[in-house]
Amino acid sequence: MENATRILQEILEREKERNALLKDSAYAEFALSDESVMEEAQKAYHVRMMEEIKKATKEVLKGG
Amino acid sequence: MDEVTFLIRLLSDNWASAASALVSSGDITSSHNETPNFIDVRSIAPNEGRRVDMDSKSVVIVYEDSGSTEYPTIDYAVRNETFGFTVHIRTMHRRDFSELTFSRDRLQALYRIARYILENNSLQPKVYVGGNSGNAVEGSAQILKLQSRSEANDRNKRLLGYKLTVEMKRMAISV
Repeated sequence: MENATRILQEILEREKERNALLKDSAYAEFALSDESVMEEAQKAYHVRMMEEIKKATKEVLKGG
Repeated sequence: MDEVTFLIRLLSDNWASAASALVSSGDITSSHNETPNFIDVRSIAPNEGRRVDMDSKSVVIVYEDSGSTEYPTIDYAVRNETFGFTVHIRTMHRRDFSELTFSRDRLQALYRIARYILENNSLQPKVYVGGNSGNAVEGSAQILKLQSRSEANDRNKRLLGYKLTVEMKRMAISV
Protein backbone atom coordinates (compact mmCIF):
# COMPACT_ATOMS: atom_id res chain seq x y z
CA MET A 1 0.00 0.00 0.00
CA GLU A 2 2.85 2.32 0.89
CA ASN A 3 4.37 1.46 -2.47
CA ALA A 4 1.15 2.39 -4.29
CA THR A 5 1.04 5.76 -2.54
CA ARG A 6 4.66 6.42 -3.43
CA ILE A 7 4.04 5.51 -7.09
CA LEU A 8 1.02 7.83 -7.24
CA GLN A 9 3.03 10.64 -5.68
CA GLU A 10 5.89 10.15 -8.17
CA ILE A 11 3.56 10.14 -11.17
CA LEU A 12 1.68 13.19 -9.95
CA GLU A 13 4.91 15.10 -9.42
CA ARG A 14 6.17 14.09 -12.85
CA GLU A 15 2.99 15.20 -14.63
CA LYS A 16 2.89 18.51 -12.75
CA GLU A 17 6.55 19.18 -13.45
CA ARG A 18 6.22 18.46 -17.17
CA ASN A 19 3.20 20.72 -17.46
CA ALA A 20 4.89 23.50 -15.49
CA LEU A 21 7.85 23.45 -17.90
CA LEU A 22 5.46 23.83 -20.80
CA LYS A 23 3.49 26.56 -19.03
CA ASP A 24 6.65 28.63 -18.58
CA SER A 25 7.58 28.40 -22.23
CA ALA A 26 6.48 29.93 -25.51
CA TYR A 27 4.12 26.97 -25.83
CA ALA A 28 2.10 27.88 -22.75
CA GLU A 29 -1.13 27.77 -24.76
CA PHE A 30 -0.57 24.05 -25.14
CA ALA A 31 -0.10 23.35 -21.45
CA LEU A 32 -2.87 21.40 -19.77
CA SER A 33 -5.26 22.77 -17.17
CA ASP A 34 -4.72 21.61 -13.57
CA GLU A 35 -7.78 19.39 -13.87
CA SER A 36 -6.40 17.63 -16.93
CA VAL A 37 -3.00 17.17 -15.31
CA MET A 38 -4.74 15.27 -12.51
CA GLU A 39 -6.69 13.19 -15.05
CA GLU A 40 -3.52 12.33 -16.96
CA ALA A 41 -1.77 11.41 -13.72
CA GLN A 42 -4.64 9.10 -12.78
CA LYS A 43 -4.49 7.41 -16.18
CA ALA A 44 -0.72 6.95 -15.91
CA TYR A 45 -1.13 5.61 -12.36
CA HIS A 46 -3.72 3.10 -13.52
CA VAL A 47 -1.41 1.82 -16.29
CA ARG A 48 1.53 1.59 -13.90
CA MET A 49 -0.47 -0.26 -11.24
CA MET A 50 -1.71 -2.77 -13.80
CA GLU A 51 1.92 -3.45 -14.68
CA GLU A 52 2.80 -3.85 -11.00
CA ILE A 53 -0.10 -6.30 -10.50
CA LYS A 54 0.94 -8.30 -13.58
CA LYS A 55 4.51 -8.47 -12.28
CA ALA A 56 3.39 -9.53 -8.80
CA THR A 57 0.99 -12.16 -10.20
CA LYS A 58 3.78 -13.62 -12.34
CA GLU A 59 6.03 -13.87 -9.29
CA VAL A 60 3.33 -15.61 -7.24
CA LEU A 61 2.57 -18.09 -10.01
CA LYS A 62 6.27 -18.81 -10.47
CA GLY A 63 6.57 -19.51 -6.77
CA GLY A 64 3.57 -21.85 -6.79
CA MET B 1 22.07 11.71 -29.09
CA ASP B 2 19.67 10.86 -26.28
CA GLU B 3 16.56 8.79 -26.91
CA VAL B 4 13.96 11.58 -26.75
CA THR B 5 16.02 13.67 -29.19
CA PHE B 6 16.31 10.63 -31.44
CA LEU B 7 12.54 10.13 -31.55
CA ILE B 8 11.89 13.84 -32.11
CA ARG B 9 14.42 13.92 -34.93
CA LEU B 10 12.93 10.81 -36.51
CA LEU B 11 9.48 12.43 -36.49
CA SER B 12 10.55 15.90 -37.57
CA ASP B 13 13.00 14.77 -40.29
CA ASN B 14 10.37 12.53 -41.88
CA TRP B 15 7.26 14.65 -41.27
CA ALA B 16 7.06 16.53 -44.58
CA SER B 17 7.60 13.47 -46.78
CA ALA B 18 5.16 11.37 -44.74
CA ALA B 19 2.50 14.08 -44.95
CA SER B 20 2.97 14.37 -48.72
CA ALA B 21 2.67 10.60 -49.12
CA LEU B 22 -0.59 10.57 -47.14
CA VAL B 23 -1.99 13.50 -49.11
CA SER B 24 -1.13 11.65 -52.34
CA SER B 25 -2.79 8.46 -51.13
CA GLY B 26 -5.88 10.38 -50.06
CA ASP B 27 -5.53 9.49 -46.36
CA ILE B 28 -5.36 13.14 -45.33
CA THR B 29 -6.45 16.30 -47.10
CA SER B 30 -3.93 18.94 -48.14
CA SER B 31 -5.55 21.42 -45.74
CA HIS B 32 -4.21 19.28 -42.89
CA ASN B 33 -0.70 18.96 -44.28
CA GLU B 34 0.86 20.87 -41.40
CA THR B 35 4.18 20.48 -39.65
CA PRO B 36 3.73 20.89 -35.89
CA ASN B 37 6.25 22.10 -33.35
CA PHE B 38 8.19 19.22 -31.81
CA ILE B 39 8.85 19.72 -28.13
CA ASP B 40 11.18 18.16 -25.60
CA VAL B 41 10.10 19.87 -22.37
CA ARG B 42 13.58 19.39 -20.92
CA SER B 43 15.10 21.70 -23.46
CA ILE B 44 12.58 24.51 -23.93
CA ALA B 45 13.69 27.78 -22.46
CA PRO B 46 11.38 29.61 -20.07
CA ASN B 47 9.96 32.37 -22.21
CA GLU B 48 6.90 33.90 -20.66
CA GLY B 49 5.35 36.61 -22.75
CA ARG B 50 6.24 35.21 -26.13
CA ARG B 51 3.68 32.86 -27.62
CA VAL B 52 3.75 30.68 -30.71
CA ASP B 53 1.56 31.54 -33.66
CA MET B 54 -1.69 29.68 -33.09
CA ASP B 55 -2.85 30.18 -36.66
CA SER B 56 -0.92 27.28 -37.99
CA LYS B 57 0.72 25.27 -35.26
CA SER B 58 -0.04 22.20 -33.32
CA VAL B 59 2.49 20.53 -31.07
CA VAL B 60 3.97 17.09 -30.61
CA ILE B 61 5.48 16.64 -27.16
CA VAL B 62 7.75 13.68 -26.52
CA TYR B 63 8.47 12.36 -23.01
CA GLU B 64 10.50 9.38 -21.91
CA ASP B 65 8.47 7.34 -19.44
CA SER B 66 10.69 4.36 -18.83
CA GLY B 67 14.04 2.84 -19.66
CA SER B 68 15.28 -0.60 -18.76
CA THR B 69 18.48 -2.51 -19.36
CA GLU B 70 19.14 -6.23 -19.38
CA TYR B 71 22.25 -8.31 -19.89
CA PRO B 72 21.11 -11.52 -21.59
CA THR B 73 24.44 -13.37 -21.74
CA ILE B 74 26.21 -15.13 -18.90
CA ASP B 75 29.31 -12.95 -19.30
CA TYR B 76 27.33 -9.68 -19.34
CA ALA B 77 29.07 -8.83 -22.60
CA VAL B 78 26.05 -7.33 -24.35
CA ARG B 79 23.25 -5.04 -23.31
CA ASN B 80 19.63 -4.79 -24.46
CA GLU B 81 17.83 -1.52 -23.84
CA THR B 82 14.09 -0.86 -23.90
CA PHE B 83 12.63 2.64 -23.74
CA GLY B 84 9.04 3.71 -23.32
CA PHE B 85 7.85 7.08 -24.62
CA THR B 86 4.71 9.16 -24.59
CA VAL B 87 4.11 11.11 -27.77
CA HIS B 88 1.40 13.65 -27.02
CA ILE B 89 -0.14 15.34 -30.08
CA ARG B 90 -2.07 18.48 -29.14
CA THR B 91 -3.98 20.81 -31.35
CA MET B 92 -5.96 23.90 -30.46
CA HIS B 93 -9.70 23.77 -30.98
CA ARG B 94 -10.55 27.16 -32.44
CA ARG B 95 -13.98 28.63 -32.82
CA ASP B 96 -13.13 30.51 -36.00
CA PHE B 97 -12.36 27.43 -38.06
CA SER B 98 -14.66 27.12 -41.05
CA GLU B 99 -15.95 23.71 -40.04
CA LEU B 100 -16.81 22.48 -36.59
CA THR B 101 -14.87 19.29 -37.19
CA PHE B 102 -11.73 21.00 -38.51
CA SER B 103 -9.72 20.55 -35.29
CA ARG B 104 -10.81 16.95 -34.93
CA ASP B 105 -9.77 16.25 -38.53
CA ARG B 106 -6.48 18.10 -37.99
CA LEU B 107 -5.73 15.91 -34.98
CA GLN B 108 -6.60 12.78 -36.94
CA ALA B 109 -4.28 13.87 -39.77
CA LEU B 110 -1.42 14.56 -37.35
CA TYR B 111 -1.94 11.13 -35.81
CA ARG B 112 -1.90 9.44 -39.22
CA ILE B 113 1.32 11.18 -40.17
CA ALA B 114 3.00 10.18 -36.88
CA ARG B 115 1.75 6.59 -37.26
CA TYR B 116 3.01 6.48 -40.86
CA ILE B 117 6.49 7.53 -39.74
CA LEU B 118 6.58 5.07 -36.84
CA GLU B 119 5.31 2.18 -38.95
CA ASN B 120 7.69 2.91 -41.81
CA ASN B 121 10.63 3.09 -39.44
CA SER B 122 9.70 0.19 -37.19
CA LEU B 123 12.77 -1.83 -38.14
CA GLN B 124 16.22 -0.25 -37.85
CA PRO B 125 15.08 3.38 -37.50
CA LYS B 126 17.85 5.87 -38.24
CA VAL B 127 18.36 9.61 -38.20
CA TYR B 128 20.95 11.19 -40.43
CA VAL B 129 23.11 14.29 -40.23
CA GLY B 130 21.08 17.20 -41.55
CA GLY B 131 18.03 14.95 -41.94
CA ASN B 132 19.38 13.71 -45.27
CA SER B 133 19.61 9.95 -45.78
CA GLY B 134 22.64 10.47 -48.02
CA ASN B 135 24.61 11.69 -45.01
CA ALA B 136 26.14 9.82 -42.09
CA VAL B 137 23.91 8.10 -39.53
CA GLU B 138 23.58 10.20 -36.41
CA GLY B 139 21.48 7.82 -34.31
CA SER B 140 19.81 4.45 -34.65
CA ALA B 141 17.87 1.71 -32.90
CA GLN B 142 16.65 -1.80 -33.74
CA ILE B 143 12.90 -1.71 -33.19
CA LEU B 144 10.33 1.04 -32.85
CA LYS B 145 6.73 0.16 -32.10
CA LEU B 146 3.57 2.20 -31.77
CA GLN B 147 1.81 0.46 -28.89
CA SER B 148 -1.34 2.39 -28.10
CA ARG B 149 -3.36 5.54 -28.59
CA SER B 150 -5.70 7.22 -26.16
CA GLU B 151 -7.68 10.42 -26.29
CA ALA B 152 -6.35 13.19 -24.09
CA ASN B 153 -8.54 16.26 -24.51
CA ASP B 154 -8.63 19.28 -22.24
CA ARG B 155 -12.03 20.91 -22.19
CA ASN B 156 -10.90 23.90 -20.14
CA LYS B 157 -8.11 24.79 -22.53
CA ARG B 158 -9.97 23.77 -25.69
CA LEU B 159 -7.17 21.40 -26.58
CA LEU B 160 -7.70 18.20 -28.51
CA GLY B 161 -5.09 15.54 -28.08
CA TYR B 162 -3.96 12.01 -28.70
CA LYS B 163 -1.50 10.33 -26.45
CA LEU B 164 0.56 7.61 -28.09
CA THR B 165 2.77 5.13 -26.32
CA VAL B 166 5.84 4.10 -28.25
CA GLU B 167 8.45 1.49 -27.44
CA MET B 168 12.00 1.50 -28.74
CA LYS B 169 14.58 -1.25 -28.41
CA ARG B 170 18.30 -1.33 -28.90
CA MET B 171 19.72 -4.82 -28.77
CA ALA B 172 23.03 -6.61 -28.53
CA ILE B 173 25.06 -3.52 -27.75
CA SER B 174 28.60 -4.50 -26.84
CA VAL B 175 29.46 -3.48 -23.30
